[in-house]
Amino acid sequence: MLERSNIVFSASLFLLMVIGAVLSDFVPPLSIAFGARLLLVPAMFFACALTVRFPLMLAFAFVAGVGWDARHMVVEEGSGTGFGYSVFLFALTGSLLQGVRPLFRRGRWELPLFIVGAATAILLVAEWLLISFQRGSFACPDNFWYQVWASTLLCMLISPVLFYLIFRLGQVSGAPVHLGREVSREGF
Amino acid sequence: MNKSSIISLGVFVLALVWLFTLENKTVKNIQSKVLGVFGFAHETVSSAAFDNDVINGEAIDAADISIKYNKDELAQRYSELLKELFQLHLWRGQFDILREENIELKRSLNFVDYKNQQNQRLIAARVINRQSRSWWRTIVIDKGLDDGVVLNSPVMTPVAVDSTDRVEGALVGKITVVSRSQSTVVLATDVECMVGAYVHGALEESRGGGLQRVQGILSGAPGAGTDVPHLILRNLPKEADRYGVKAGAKVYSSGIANSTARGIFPPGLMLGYVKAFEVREIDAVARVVPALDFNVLSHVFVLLPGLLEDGGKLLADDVQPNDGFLAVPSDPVVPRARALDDDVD
Repeated sequence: MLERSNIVFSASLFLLMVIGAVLSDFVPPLSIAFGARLLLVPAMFFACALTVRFPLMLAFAFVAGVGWDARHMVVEEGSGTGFGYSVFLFALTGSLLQGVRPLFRRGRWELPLFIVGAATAILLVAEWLLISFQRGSFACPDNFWYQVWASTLLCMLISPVLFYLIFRLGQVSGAPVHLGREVSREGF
Repeated sequence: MNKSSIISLGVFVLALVWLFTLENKTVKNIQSKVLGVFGFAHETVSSAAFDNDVINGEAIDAADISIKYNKDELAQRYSELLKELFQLHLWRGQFDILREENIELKRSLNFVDYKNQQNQRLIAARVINRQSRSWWRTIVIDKGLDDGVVLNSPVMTPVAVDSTDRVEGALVGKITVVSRSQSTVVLATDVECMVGAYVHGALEESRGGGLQRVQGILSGAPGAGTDVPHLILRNLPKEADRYGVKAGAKVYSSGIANSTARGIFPPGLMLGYVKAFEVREIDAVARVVPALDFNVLSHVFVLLPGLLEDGGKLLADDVQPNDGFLAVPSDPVVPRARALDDDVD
């Protein structure tokens, strides 16, 4: 049976992700970072993926992926839509994050930052590979790698704030944040 | 992996399969709903930022202001207006930019006049968001279903040609997602936006013995960046250079549909200029420089379905959304209707 505090915590994380999606629309692209944008939704998802259990991570992957595709994907009539591929990518990267959660047992604060950055880079490159495969050409857009690294860096920079928010939400709702046994005892 | 993880993984896979098998129409519906949510957020923020105090360039009247704001909010507004006043003083030095904008607006006016003469229904829209980090090149405009915009409506903007007093309608893209108050436009520089196009002045012999335009399919080039987008005109005959496809030649929409480029774009819309021509194994391609800078677009025009009578009444108002478009042949160059530079100063 699910505890009430867990439900509240999950719902508040979900709400946080929706707010992040709306806010990301108001964040302008950074010209000094080759037009890269702060990808709040992936950053939020990765932070959540490190702190929630596997079933909830999948649920977040579904919501974030559908929202991401609904907002950004151009679906052409007559061709295969490909709608939903981001759900798959989010779930894949989320599962990777779930797999490295035991690494955080030492409670080192810098590891989640690098992991979120790595997951962002993996997501972006996987997106590019999938789209290229669908379009039948592996052309690399100008500044592509710069944009990937800039977005990665931005996600890494914002992730401590997101982790702080998630931990605070966990405290307020009375739900434990699952980031490894020792870490949850010692704090993030 | 415990039991709950396995069950959730099973449910997730089923949901994923359901997503992958969604019909195009359902996907568009979902996208429309999501765009509607974002549109609501935009409107709320705009309202909170006092953007609605000015309607069509005129301030709302005192009665409305007293209803809308309390004393504290008015004080805050007053403070913001003082800051704006300071900024306006700084902007005085940018008179040249405003002058350019004035010229651009008059071009737009000429363009709308011309389209009205052709009984075409245009609606002006403001670009409110551009999604720079996306695999698709799109912009979001502030007009939607409530304004008569439907899926696949062509989006255009006037551009200057040859001299400042002559304008042509240049293709911006087409509506790909539409909600009640906003729409997403996929730009002509996107790979997914395919347009039937012809090269102005280039004619080839048809099978019947006569002459026909050299035509191809124009789309965005995969891999082109946002700063330097270029288009690719493919499916050209290998001898197209002999027929007049050369650097500098103008490229227009043909309004003709085929399997890849659907005929939703009216003919005669300016697409760009040929930059380079290359013969490949089975066909030839031309690299095309777009007629407009997509990075600085602030206002665009959406061509609505249906035609107007002389009195301005809708003639073909039985057009249903998603029915495609009434393609109206047009002379691409708008005749001089109003002096642009004469009365600017």
